[in-house]
Amino acid sequence: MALRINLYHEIDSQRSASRRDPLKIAGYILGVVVVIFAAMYVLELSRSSALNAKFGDLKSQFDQLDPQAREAEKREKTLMRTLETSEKFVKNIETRFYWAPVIEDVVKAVPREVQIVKLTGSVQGEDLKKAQMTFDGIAAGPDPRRVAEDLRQALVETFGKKYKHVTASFRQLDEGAEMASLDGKSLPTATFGITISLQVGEDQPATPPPADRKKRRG
Amino acid sequence: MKLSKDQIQKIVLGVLAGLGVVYGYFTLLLFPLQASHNTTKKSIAALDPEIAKARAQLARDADVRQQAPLAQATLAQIDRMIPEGAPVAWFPTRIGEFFKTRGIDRATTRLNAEVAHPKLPGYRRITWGVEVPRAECLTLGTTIAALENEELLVSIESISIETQREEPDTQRVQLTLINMVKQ
Repeated sequence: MALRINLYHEIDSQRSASRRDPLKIAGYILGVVVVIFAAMYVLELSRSSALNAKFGDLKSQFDQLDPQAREAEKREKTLMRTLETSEKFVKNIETRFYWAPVIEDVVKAVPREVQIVKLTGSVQGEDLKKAQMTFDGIAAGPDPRRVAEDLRQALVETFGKKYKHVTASFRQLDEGAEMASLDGKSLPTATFGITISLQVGEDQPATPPPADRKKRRG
Repeated sequence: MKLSKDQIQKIVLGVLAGLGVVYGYFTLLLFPLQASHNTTKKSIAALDPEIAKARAQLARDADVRQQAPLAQATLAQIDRMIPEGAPVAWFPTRIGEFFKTRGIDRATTRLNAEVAHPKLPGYRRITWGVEVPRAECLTLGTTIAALENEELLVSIESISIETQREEPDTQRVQLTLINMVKQ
């Protein structure tokens, strides 16, 4: 058996020591970490750059839109005032209470046995209009009170078709001192006063009562 | 494996260098970048609704501008119905003429009250008392109907029709009119 003598054992041990050099290994590891970190940074930088570009784009859009919007807001306020005024005017005109149809209805409802001596009426309210009318007159017939009552009911029926909450009541109903001549007959009379109230327009929705905040203690 | 003193020193040095790199990387590079990233994100999040608001405002404005000509025309038409000058100078004459052309010779108009319109800025409500001493029933009815149809800025607040004892075919009429005029 041949004897082998390694004359380079010192060189080999040096090489081996160099391969296992912790500083060198640490350098490699550090290099890898640096590369990973650099990649992460580049990635983050690119995302940040995209975000900055988006922000710049939005900012320029906002800078362009904001003065326009401010100007539009001022103009809108002025135009809205015009629109509201016009709308209120039209509503004011369209929701007026018309007396001519009322008078026409009264003329139609009054029978020939009745003479209206005085008619007064007034209307109040803006959106919801409440009208009140009084009729003073003379009714003639075999039963003049019945004639006056028929007139009251006829007025309620006539106005009830067009208006809301129509109520009619006698303010006064007395036998008349004079006799009236109708169709050649002399008939007893009654003087009456009828008050009618009615409503035009929609009822305002009732305001809900405030919630009871106090807790009930048992 | 036994580490020599030199190797231990090198390992410690390597670890320190690694820690330095990690610290420097996070403190000087990544964290400031992420902070800037977050700030930009917040700014974008704040800007988005502002842009949407501005766009909505512009859309609303366009909508209002589209409706405006009709409203402006209506107001101009209404303004044309109101003559220039003090109402007391033209309204009684106008009403007198109105009744006269419809066969009612006398109609006296008086100013009762004048207030700023509560709902229409720039306009006033004037209350007038009109007295017609003598009018025939049918003529009166048609005249009131015509007044309500033709005088759009006039509304009748109250009415009183009373038969005259001496002439049962004619009535004495009192009207309270409300007229809208410019301030």
